[in-house]
Amino acid sequence: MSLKKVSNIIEALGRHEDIDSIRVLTELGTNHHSDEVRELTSRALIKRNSREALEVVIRNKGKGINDLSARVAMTAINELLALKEKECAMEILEETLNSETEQEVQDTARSVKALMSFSS
Amino acid sequence: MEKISPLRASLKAFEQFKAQRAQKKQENTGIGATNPFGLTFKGTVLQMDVFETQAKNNAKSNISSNAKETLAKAGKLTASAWAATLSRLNSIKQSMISFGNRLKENTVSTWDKLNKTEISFTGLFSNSVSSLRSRSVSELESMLQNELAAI
Repeated sequence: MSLKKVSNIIEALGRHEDIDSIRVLTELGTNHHSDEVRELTSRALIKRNSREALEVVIRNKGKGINDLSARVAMTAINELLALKEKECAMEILEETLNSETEQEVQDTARSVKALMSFSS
Repeated sequence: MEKISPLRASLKAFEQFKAQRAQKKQENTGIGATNPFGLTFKGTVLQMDVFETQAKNNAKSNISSNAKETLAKAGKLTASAWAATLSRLNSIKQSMISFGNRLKENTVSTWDKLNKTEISFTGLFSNSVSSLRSRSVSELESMLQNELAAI
């Protein structure tokens, strides 16, 4: 398994100027069975720090901070906390809390928002 | 008859004795000059020491035969040592020649290997993030699909 090459492709897609790269990462990366691939994809999407990319890892159940793997979820939360500009992420978290999504997703968003407000 | 005084008679006798003595002394010095040994053999004056005993001759012959044997032994030893040295020199020469040949073969094989080796940096940085970013999303999508399928 050449995970180094996969990591480079995911990182290249995360930094790519074309917005279609988010679709590719969402379809192929966040739905993959491997925890490592999902972890790499979440990190790449959060580092992109765009609304489209952050919505994927915050609002969707089973992806990013809502991933069933604790390791993947914790990695996503750490990446969110490490962001220099947190305004966009805080905005999406607030929208998630006020939206009619599942309770579990809302609880996670509340916790992460609290952590981010404490860390900033 | 002439009358001789006792004093004159004794003087005359002394002179005769003196003359005889001088003559004898002269004879002795003549012999001593030619023959330092002062020896005569059957009336012939010996000019050198020619008297050698038989034992002395035997000892001399023994010594000469021993010396010859020693010389012969030394000659054999020298010959064998020289032969050993020659064989050793030959073996050293052979080993030096084989070492030189081996060195030459190794050098030639290394040179051939270097000539056949091609160094290219074409695919070295092809998978770096910066080079991948320059590609299109569709191309990256197909690459990621292929890589994820292998996992």
